[in-house]
Amino acid sequence: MMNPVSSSSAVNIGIIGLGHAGMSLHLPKLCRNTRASILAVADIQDERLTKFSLAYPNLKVKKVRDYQELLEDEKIQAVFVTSPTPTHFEIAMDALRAGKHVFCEKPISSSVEEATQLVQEAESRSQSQVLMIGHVIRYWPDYVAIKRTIDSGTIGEPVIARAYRAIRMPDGWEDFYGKSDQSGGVLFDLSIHDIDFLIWCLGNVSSVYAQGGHLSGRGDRDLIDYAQVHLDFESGAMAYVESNWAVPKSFPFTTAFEISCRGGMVSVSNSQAHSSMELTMDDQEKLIRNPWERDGYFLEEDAFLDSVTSTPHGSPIAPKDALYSLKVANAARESIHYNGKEVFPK
Amino acid sequence: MTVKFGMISFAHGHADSYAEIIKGNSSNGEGETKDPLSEIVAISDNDERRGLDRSKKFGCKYFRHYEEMLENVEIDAVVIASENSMHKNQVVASARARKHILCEKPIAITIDQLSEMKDELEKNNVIFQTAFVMRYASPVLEACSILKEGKLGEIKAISATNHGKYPGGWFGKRELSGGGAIMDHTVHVADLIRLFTGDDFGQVRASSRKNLRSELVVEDVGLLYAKMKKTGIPVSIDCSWSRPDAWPIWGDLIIELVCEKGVLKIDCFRPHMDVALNGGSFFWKGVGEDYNEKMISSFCDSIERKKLSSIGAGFDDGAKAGLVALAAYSSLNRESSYVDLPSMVTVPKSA
Repeated sequence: MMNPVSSSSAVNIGIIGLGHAGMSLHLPKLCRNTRASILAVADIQDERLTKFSLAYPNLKVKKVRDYQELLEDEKIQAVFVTSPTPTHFEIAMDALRAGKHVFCEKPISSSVEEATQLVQEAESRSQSQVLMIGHVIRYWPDYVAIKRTIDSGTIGEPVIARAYRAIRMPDGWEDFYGKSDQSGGVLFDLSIHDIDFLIWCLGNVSSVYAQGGHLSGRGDRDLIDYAQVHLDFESGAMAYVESNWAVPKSFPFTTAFEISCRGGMVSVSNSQAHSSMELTMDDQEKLIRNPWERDGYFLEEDAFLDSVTSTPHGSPIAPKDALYSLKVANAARESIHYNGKEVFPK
Repeated sequence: MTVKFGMISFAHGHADSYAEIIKGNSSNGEGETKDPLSEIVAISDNDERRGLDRSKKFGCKYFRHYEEMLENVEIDAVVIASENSMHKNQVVASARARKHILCEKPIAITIDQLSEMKDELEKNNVIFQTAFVMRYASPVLEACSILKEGKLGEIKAISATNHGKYPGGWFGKRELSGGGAIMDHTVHVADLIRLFTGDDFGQVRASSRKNLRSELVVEDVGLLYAKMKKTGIPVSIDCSWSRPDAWPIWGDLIIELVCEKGVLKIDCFRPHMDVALNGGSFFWKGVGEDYNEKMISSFCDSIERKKLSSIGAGFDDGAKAGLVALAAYSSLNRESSYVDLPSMVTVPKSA
């Protein structure tokens, strides 16, 4: 059993997976959060552990190759599962069974069956443990502003939304992104952000159809690396979600979102027009961004720490919601496989 | 050569721009007056007040009925900018009167209309140009030449938007417009996609659910999904009138081409200056070239050379883009599944 934690003390944390998500997205923010105390990190690759030591020379933490070792450490209360998608299920499951609170990167899994099992496990432990899936867009400042504007009623009833997300397919550990059964393709990696956000804003989806497929020639032949997804919502609203991994390396990470409602519209993007900083360096791609001190990663981690330290625990993003978003993304995948068949996710 | 124009209707807002350009004025009412490209000899408009007003403005004769204008005045060409549903009769009459025709888009609202127009145009040797003005936009021309160089490789997928505000008036009356946003905003992008791919649309499906403007009887939102005929590549078109009144520009025309070796995106109305006025108004004003002017000038050249310019959109182009919108409507009726693009069947000669 977990030791009760008072809300004033920091949460003892272990991080499993020091790839891009662990190393670049979560660690920098967790280090700045006084409510988090990192006790251990795990990665199966020695060079990653070395890289970590070099990047954080002052962080005195246990470094292990086998995450089980980290789970056995009774001082650790919560773990961040920032490993590749195909390992989420096993690691998150083991972590829950070891009595840890679990923050798991999105997507919850690349398999609906695994995700369902994991959600069942989490729900059976919801009195004492938290499982939060990191749908970071729910904490990203401009998307939060959209959600709040819709909820405030100032722009009226939502009718049509449009979401766009593009970046070259990442390399990843053993090229797992390029393996359709391991990453779930662009639908599970990129589209799921917008799908989850849209569901958060607009409610349940009544039907899905999609077109797209394998465009780039990189990865498996059946890998979907480009998708145009149509979502009909039970509310009567509809949305277009476009996601693209089939872009050149030099293509900047690009996101855009707009929603038109009966009283007006709101739109955001990560383009220059909506950003506060531009960084240009020799031989490097220009970087345009909003360097929020409290960005989506910080805020989602903070929300997780909040739920760990408060009673009753309530996951800020219910595991079943993450499962539902995965099911909708999976419906789009099915639709593409069956030439645009309309699919009704449950 | 100075082309003598007769204007058929000012129902479509573009008519005023076209007339200004023919008169040698810049269409936005600014800038220098140039030598007139041509002249406007007469105007016909079934709205008498509007017609008289324009005849005074442009200093030419006014006719209530276009048939009278075609019979009584010596003109070389007509500009048809009436309500969509009226194009067909006006095109047929103008062709019979052997006038060259510049026709606003969409050129027709039913397949039967298209067939009848085709039939009549084939019989009479006149130049017909569809007012697909975007073919003259520099980003479009640049995209064509980049694609032609072949550096990007094959086009693998396309997504496009032609968003707009609600144009109002007859655009909201189905019997005059033939439909809402899908009818109004599918064809420009459909035409450019045909131009870029050198391919026709094969299958189309569309979704349009509740309206943004609940009082409107025509649809004001639409999402089209298509597969091109030869390559089967996926295409999406958002043709919605989803821009609120306060949006700083009427709308947009954006096309992103995902290619083998890169991504090419054009955003035709992005070059602008911000204008802010005391009293609260803020808007974008286009800078640079006037696409309408390039089109009118090219149409005049075509008349002089007795052959439609290679850049201009002819009848088939207008018809094939129109069929995409018509296929979208029939897919709506069949509850969202792909429908094959219909073909034009020539109707038997009527008595």
